Amino acid sequence: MYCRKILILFLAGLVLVTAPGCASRSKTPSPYELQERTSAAHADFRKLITVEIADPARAAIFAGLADERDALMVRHSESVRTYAESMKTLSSDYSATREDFEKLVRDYDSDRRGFQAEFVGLIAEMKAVTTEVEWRKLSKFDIDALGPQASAISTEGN
Amino acid sequence: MLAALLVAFFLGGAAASGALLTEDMLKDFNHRAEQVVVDPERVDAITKEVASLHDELKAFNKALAKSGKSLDAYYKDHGADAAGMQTELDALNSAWVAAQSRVLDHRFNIRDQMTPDEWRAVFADK
Repeated sequence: MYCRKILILFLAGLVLVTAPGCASRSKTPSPYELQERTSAAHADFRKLITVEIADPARAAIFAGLADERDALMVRHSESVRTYAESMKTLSSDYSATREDFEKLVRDYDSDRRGFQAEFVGLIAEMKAVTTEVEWRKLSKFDIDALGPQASAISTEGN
Repeated sequence: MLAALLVAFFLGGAAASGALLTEDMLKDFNHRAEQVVVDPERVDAITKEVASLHDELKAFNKALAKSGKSLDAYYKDHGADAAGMQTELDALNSAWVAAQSRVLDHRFNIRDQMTPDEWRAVFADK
């Protein structure tokens, strides 16, 4: 869920902003491919939690924190999408004032800082409920599972 | 890389900054402006502002990538505390706000070179 939601958001972002004829578009997996890939990664991650964290109680807590992180990402993805749409609308409006833009940026920044603080707190809790070895393997999975998509996004976003 | 992705996510990534103008969109914007604005002096002024805006976006993308690496390290390090990660994000947030302000300067400089009709024509099917 975690990976899938992030990637869906990013895909939406790319669709939103990528100009026609972008040379790097072909590097981006299709929505179906992303869905398949990230759903599989999500299932694998859940399996990995139970394999790496032998203590069922800690594994359950960790899985719960991962769920909270998923939910946070979903909520924030909606916030990002709303901000992007508002910014697009303002950008195209000749009569939009500087204050209109600044208010939007200010409000979004404040909103985002709240999400970030919550996210950082969740990561800290996830670390706290795992040993160093467990965290190394679980976090490595996150990174490896998202690597190819992250590269594609980086190409598009730049 | 995951942290870099998360940073981009939290900062709105391509979606949010791109709504103002991404590097890809800038090329398209400049091309459209050249077609719509007939006065060579104004076209030249717009092109210069677009180039400056492009530089601004590139500079921020570099800062984003650098922070992403730092956050990757915090993320992977079991012993790293939340405060370090938060400090890195706070710094990036501030850099983003400052960059947005400079981007806005360029956006309004560009707008001031165009009439309302020209502006509407450039954004016609956006």
